[in-house]
Amino acid sequence: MYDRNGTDQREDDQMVRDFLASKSSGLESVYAAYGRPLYSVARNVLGNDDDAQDCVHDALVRIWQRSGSYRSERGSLRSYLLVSVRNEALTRKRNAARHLDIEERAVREEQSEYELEVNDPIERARLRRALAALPAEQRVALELAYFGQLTHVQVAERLGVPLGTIKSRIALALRKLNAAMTERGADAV
Amino acid sequence: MSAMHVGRDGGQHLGELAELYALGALEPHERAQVEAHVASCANCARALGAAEVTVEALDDVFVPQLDPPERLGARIAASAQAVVPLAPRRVRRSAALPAPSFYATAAALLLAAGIGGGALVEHSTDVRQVAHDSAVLATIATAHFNHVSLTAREPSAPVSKVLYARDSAWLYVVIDSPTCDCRVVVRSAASERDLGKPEVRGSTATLFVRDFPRPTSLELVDASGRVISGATLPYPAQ
Repeated sequence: MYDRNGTDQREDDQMVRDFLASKSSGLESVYAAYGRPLYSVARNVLGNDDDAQDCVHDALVRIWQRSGSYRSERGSLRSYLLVSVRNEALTRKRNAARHLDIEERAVREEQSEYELEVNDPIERARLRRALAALPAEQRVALELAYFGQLTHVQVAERLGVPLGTIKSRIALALRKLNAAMTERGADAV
Repeated sequence: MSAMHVGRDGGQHLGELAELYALGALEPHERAQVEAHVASCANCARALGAAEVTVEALDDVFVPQLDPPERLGARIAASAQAVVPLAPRRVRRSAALPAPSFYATAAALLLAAGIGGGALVEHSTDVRQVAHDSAVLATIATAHFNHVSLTAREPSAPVSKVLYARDSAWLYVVIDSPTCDCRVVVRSAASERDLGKPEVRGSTATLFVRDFPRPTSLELVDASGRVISGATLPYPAQ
């Protein structure tokens, strides 16, 4: 599980086992542990409470019912669930054709730094530095995918760059961020 | 469709698709491709996990953290008790399915849509009830449809779901309670229509309706006229 101090923070093994065994207690425990970040991600993507609740409920229950889609090599259950809920939210948003304009999202992101709770200012600053250190073409592609919530096809269209190039830029950017996080973790040990 | 990457072993692997998946930058059919591959490739599962951890870190610092409403916890708890877990199983496709497989496929579709009434196919008596309405199942099993959970507005509201055809040809309401005394009401910009009372079918109550104006929202209204739950129904642009 990712944690901000770079230390080994293991998930509650029993909770994970119960969830993967599709036990009722597993679903309730996972929601108790991760409900806040899951709801926050869905709300951030969908922009309203009702849709975010539907998204988290449906995605979490579906994964719990069909827990065979998760395997331990993939990493922590938390990161898997966050990405799953984020993908579910993005699908709903795209299907509903209620896509916020990218410029509007960029404004919201800038505003949120001042208006909303800053989760961890130190970690945020570190990630911002890591983002800033990326080559400009990689950073822009990554930001359009993550903050702009665009598909790789949409990013390519927006930037007027071949699809294969965009895929490479986004993947390289995320791998560099991962490497920066790993180095930070090693420094902290 | 995104091409898989050919690895040193000559096999197909995720390559850049891992990062694109974790960021939510793939289309649904591409995501399905990734999920199918990861189920049988440990190396790609690890690569995907590394990408997911990175996106998790981005989420943790850039997404404003909000407390979910208490009623979401109540819905999750209700589903934990009401929904019957499914063993991972692949639904076989066939041009001419025999009747039992057809009903199993249709029921699997309902469950894949996350319907709270998982008991629909858990007990043999319920399977017969589902199978009895072959016209409904045939319609659903062969259509493109959306599904939305109804959001509770009163504590007494049961877990409920609506499936509806994207071309607005039909909608199907499933209430995960046999005792809910309520009616289904749809609203559009210009009108409101009472679709009637769901019919009790085992441990659930259901209502299937054809031929109605495309609604913008659907609500369950109790006997006193109070709205106990509802949902907006996003349709694709015409």
